[in-house]
Amino acid sequence: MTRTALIATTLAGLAVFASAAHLEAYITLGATVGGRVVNLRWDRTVDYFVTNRDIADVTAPQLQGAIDRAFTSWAAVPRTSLGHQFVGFTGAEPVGGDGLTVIGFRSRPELDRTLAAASFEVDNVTGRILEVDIYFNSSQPWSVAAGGRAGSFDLESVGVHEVGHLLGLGHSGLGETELRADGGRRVVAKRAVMFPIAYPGGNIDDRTLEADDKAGITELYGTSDAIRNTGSLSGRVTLGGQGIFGAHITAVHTATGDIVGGFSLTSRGDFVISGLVPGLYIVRAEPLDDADIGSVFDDDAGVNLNFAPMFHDRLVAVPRGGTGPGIEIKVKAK
Amino acid sequence: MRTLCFAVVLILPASAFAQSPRLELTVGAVVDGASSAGVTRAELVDPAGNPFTLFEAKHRTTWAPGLEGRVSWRVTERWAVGVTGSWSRPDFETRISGDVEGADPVTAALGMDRFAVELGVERRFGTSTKWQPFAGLAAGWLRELADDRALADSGVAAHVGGGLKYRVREGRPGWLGHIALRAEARLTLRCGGITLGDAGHRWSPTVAAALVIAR
Ligand SMILES: [Zn+2]
Repeated sequence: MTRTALIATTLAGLAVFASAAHLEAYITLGATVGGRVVNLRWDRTVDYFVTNRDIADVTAPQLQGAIDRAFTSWAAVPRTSLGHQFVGFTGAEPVGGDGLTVIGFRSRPELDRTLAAASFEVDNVTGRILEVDIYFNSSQPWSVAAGGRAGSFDLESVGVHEVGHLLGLGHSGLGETELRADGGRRVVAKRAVMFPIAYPGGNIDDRTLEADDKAGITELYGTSDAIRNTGSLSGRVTLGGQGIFGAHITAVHTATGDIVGGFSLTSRGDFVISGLVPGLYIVRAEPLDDADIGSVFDDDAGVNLNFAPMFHDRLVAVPRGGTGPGIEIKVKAK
Repeated sequence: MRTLCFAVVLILPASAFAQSPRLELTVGAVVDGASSAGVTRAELVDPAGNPFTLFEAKHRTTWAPGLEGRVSWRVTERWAVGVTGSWSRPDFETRISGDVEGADPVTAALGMDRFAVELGVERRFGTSTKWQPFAGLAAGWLRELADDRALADSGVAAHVGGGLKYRVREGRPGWLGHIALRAEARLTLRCGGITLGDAGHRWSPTVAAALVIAR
């Protein structure tokens, strides 16, 4: 059996690096196996270990508690089926090659914008996940205080994000940021735990999953009941008749205001957003300009940023257990 | 003596019954007025936990013509019960504006078919003239079906209203022996159906005109 480390995703306080495979749906992580793209998805209970090492302000049991709550948040999404099991504390580091899924702290002072990272090892014949390791950068300030602690990143919040990666989710585009003088980005506002840039220290909002996160995990682990009770919308983003690759599309439920995002993932500009609560949606397309492209796509992916944000000119009906009519969002050049 | 009075009370409606038909069929046109359907704010959350509005959408359903049919049964000289079925074709319409990144405002619409079946009562006044005022209320099942048949949802419709019936012909045998024209104005309340925005229910004015035949 040949093993290959395929994916590394990181969450940063100031800027990020990550990569994701291109699939015609919500951004989920994938691997190319035998010339085809395979979703990275657990087909079994996630058995995980926690590195038995304390850092300042956080003990190993406190880390394990935060991770357990993070898994529980994902498992609590209605109509999904995923399991997790803490196996025990270990002396193993959260690095690949040992066949164990290990979560722990590592000191990475050279990565001054990186809070945490998840990396996969996948069987390159079957695409089956062999192990996923998550490290939290102990060079950053961390907190496990119930209400958060000013100046320290909330371990559970970042844990929810990293466990989202472990389960197979890529990054969301549901956020607004501004560039900092040092080249990093600051979150102005966001609406997805899986947005690639964290809230500043002291904030604990990312302990709670948003509609976008729930739609993503439902796409990967939804039960047959989920398939019957949620719907999807699909279409193309075009500019002068040509498809736009990498456009960020948001669907806003008119009755609830819930927002779910996706990306156009082919050169024809095709997109699909699934796991949606049935209803009428407002659909909007915009360039991916609020996160580093590399945090969502491979850097060389040819993402088109040269168009203006645009609303689709019709409301879109998303049915229960099906897909609404295909739509075309015709954007204009900037 | 008491027995005689009782007999009179029974006889009077029976006498009136001989003059008014008991079963009415009504077919006509209806115009549903527009109704506000609330507002949606697409919001992110800033680091302090405050909402950050991406854009705002104001919703309504448009005015729409439709068809209506009614079967009513006169229970007493003044009171009747009936079942009304109606269909109309309004649009959902959403005005989107205030985009944080400057996207052009747009009005997005989607057509729908609206069906209702309501059970109601009606009180009639002034039975002796050609012009007969009436008032009534009804409530029942609402079904809304978005264009392309992708989405359908049910709810409750109710209305209160009144109008005038003009007797064109009366007192002759058969269905064409009693013919009347009917005009009505209503206030209609709809709850449920396909929902838009934050309004839990929608009010709209409705006017209807119809041909009545009876026997
Ligand atoms: Zn991430």
